Amino acid sequence: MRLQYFVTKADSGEQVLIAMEPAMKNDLEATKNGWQSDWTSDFISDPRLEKYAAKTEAGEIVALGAYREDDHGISVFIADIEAQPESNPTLTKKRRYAGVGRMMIAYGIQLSIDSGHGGVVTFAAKTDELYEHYVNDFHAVPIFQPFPGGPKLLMLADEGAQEIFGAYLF
Amino acid sequence: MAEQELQVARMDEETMEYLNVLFSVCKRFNTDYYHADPKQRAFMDAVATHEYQLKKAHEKGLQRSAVPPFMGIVRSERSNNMPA
Repeated sequence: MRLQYFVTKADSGEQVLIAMEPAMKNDLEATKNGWQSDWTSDFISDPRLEKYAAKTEAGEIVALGAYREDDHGISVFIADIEAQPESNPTLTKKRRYAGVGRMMIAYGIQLSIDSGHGGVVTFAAKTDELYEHYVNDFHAVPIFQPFPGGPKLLMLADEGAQEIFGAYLF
Repeated sequence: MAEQELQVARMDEETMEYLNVLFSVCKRFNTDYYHADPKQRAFMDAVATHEYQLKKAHEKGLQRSAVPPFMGIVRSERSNNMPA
């Protein structure tokens, strides 16, 4: 069995192999050019956040992810993931690559297993529709949101985590 | 139907701080949040929310009275005047 991350070209469905690497300074600085958010911000620069870049074999940055282990060994926070502008559903209707978010969540699950957090990840759903999708299709468990108007928090583990991560096992 | 593109929203520092409190409560009560039943989860949420509020009030140097009583308990004046 081997692990291979990939995304698919949205127009052809062709798989594009991806390598996950610790994000370097120049990877983060690239986000100043057209990305949804600036990955050199004080928030992202927090050393407790581990930043990773998903790159094609040609070195194209497909996405960035910021992850953090909680203080009590329960889960890994997926603090933020962002697809490149050409594949970011918030920025474009016609995406270059599909499956970017799933891959970055899978990487969070891998980090969670590696760090002894059992594959448990915690994150905030981007939309109400995705919240329902995570709960209904991946058995994510809602976490009470104590801040009015705050993001809808979810915990993902067990078979849901396996389903997402398993897509990259061959 | 095309597969829905998975995305997450940015989780701010305050939220991560709250989750750390929640998970410390889960650990203390030996409760597995993911596998807990709704009643157990609601209890973890209630305790964590209260402890988080106490923590924030403490950081601001406030008294316990600044934090709503846990599950409606009627506090004594002495208790209310204690540091959070």
